[in-house]
Amino acid sequence: MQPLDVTRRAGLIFLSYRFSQGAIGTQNRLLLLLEERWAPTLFAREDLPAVRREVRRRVGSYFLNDRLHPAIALPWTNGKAGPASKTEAVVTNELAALFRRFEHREELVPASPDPVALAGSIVFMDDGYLRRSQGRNSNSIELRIIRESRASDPWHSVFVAHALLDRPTGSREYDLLFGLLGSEEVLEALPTVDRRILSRVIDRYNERQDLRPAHRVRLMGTLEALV
Amino acid sequence: MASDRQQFDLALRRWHRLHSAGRWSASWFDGITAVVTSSFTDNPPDSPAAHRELASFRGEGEEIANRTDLAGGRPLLLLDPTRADIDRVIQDDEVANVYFVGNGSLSMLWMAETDRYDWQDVSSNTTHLKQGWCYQRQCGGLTRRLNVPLGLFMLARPTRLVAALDDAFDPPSLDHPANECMTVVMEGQHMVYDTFVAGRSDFGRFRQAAGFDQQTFVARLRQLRDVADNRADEAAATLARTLMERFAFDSTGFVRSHRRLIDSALADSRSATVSEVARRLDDATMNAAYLRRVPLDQTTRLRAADLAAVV
Repeated sequence: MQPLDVTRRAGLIFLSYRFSQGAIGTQNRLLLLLEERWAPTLFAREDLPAVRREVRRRVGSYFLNDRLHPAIALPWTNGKAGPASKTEAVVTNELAALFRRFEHREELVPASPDPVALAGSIVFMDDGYLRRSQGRNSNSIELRIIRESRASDPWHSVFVAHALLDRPTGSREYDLLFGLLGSEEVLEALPTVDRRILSRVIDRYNERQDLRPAHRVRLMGTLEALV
Repeated sequence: MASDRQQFDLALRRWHRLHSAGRWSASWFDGITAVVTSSFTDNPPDSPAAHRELASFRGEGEEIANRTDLAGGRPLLLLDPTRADIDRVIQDDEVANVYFVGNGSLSMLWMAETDRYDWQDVSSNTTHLKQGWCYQRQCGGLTRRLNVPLGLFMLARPTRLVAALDDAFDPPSLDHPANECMTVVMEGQHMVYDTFVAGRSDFGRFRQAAGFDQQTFVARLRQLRDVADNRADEAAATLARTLMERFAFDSTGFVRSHRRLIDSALADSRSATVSEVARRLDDATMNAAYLRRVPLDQTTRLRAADLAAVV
């Protein structure tokens, strides 16, 4: 296995934000599995400062752009109504916490590179969005998150698109990862509760008007296998 | 001595010059993040409280620098800086982000009992505009007639200034909920003298409170004035009274004092035009929020929603 260069390592960490959909546990599992199977040098000491710098640039440029990332978290604790704008400090705190977790692996103990657990947590996050009345376009009162613009696809499911329908992720490593998550072996090992959630996510995804017939057939097959 | 308006105009002209000339710092992610922690404590010298406060400032500065480093940034920690140190930070175009930690107000950082680093110092030392953020981790009191935020004129984008606007700030740690009173002070790019004069503006902070952005809120108020101006006396008086009733459950002394004025204006409808009443409602709401005597909570949102429904 070729060691990854700085750009590839940073790219994989950046994409972990997208595919974990805001869940730290999911992100930990994603990165642990990537590291175990396809990217052993992901957090290697060598060039780590350069990797951090590149991740900061990518995550910051994306997160601080309201068009690309329209979700804004409101303050939890006080009733003050100042604008909850996204700042560089939010990016700094977030990335510092991520790199600190992977420097002190004991903080990751509850997470493991288990693909079944990872599949379950991605499906769980998909379901959280798709159960809202307007899918990914909805604000979340309980999470105190507002959206200032519309998602291009409010009914997108990370798991269905990439693990079940093989939509390319733009990264070879993530393509392999989602290939594993969508394998019969992993799907069969999903606990009952996760199967039920995945069925619900597939049902929602199936309601899309623009779904290709071949994809619909595939999803129906998966659905039958789950129940 | 120049009046505060002259000082402001001078600073603004300088800012526009730098802007037009394209004198920028490094980008926020490439540039250095300077963390400036003041050595001034307002506790008695050598008291345990003084030592605790200074240790807290330094600890906070170190933690910010550590996190910046871990997150791929380039920290520069200045513990107990001199005035010249801060001048250099402001003049160094490799520095893109600046944190101030210490005692102070929205417009200044205390350096010593008789010395403070002020917004004019920032403005006069600025040789370029920083493309990053400025975080003022000192109290954000509006203690003057003109309350220009300390770091405002060093920033390329005024919307990147974060401070504890009109609030005390003494967080036990970087992650303590007390940090949530740090807020973006300016929502728009326009810097106008009146924005910073006590009582004349809310710094655009109505965005969340009103349930819509400040621009829309101001547009609504303008509509209200137009409606009030164009209606026949009776209808306009009814409108104004309805609005006043809807504002009436606001319990602050400030609004109450305005309410008395509104009441007296309405009592003699011949002498008071409705647009004057509407103006007073406008002022009362803005000022109450500005002085933070009204928590900008559900109550404010309801009132804003009512207002939107009426106009």
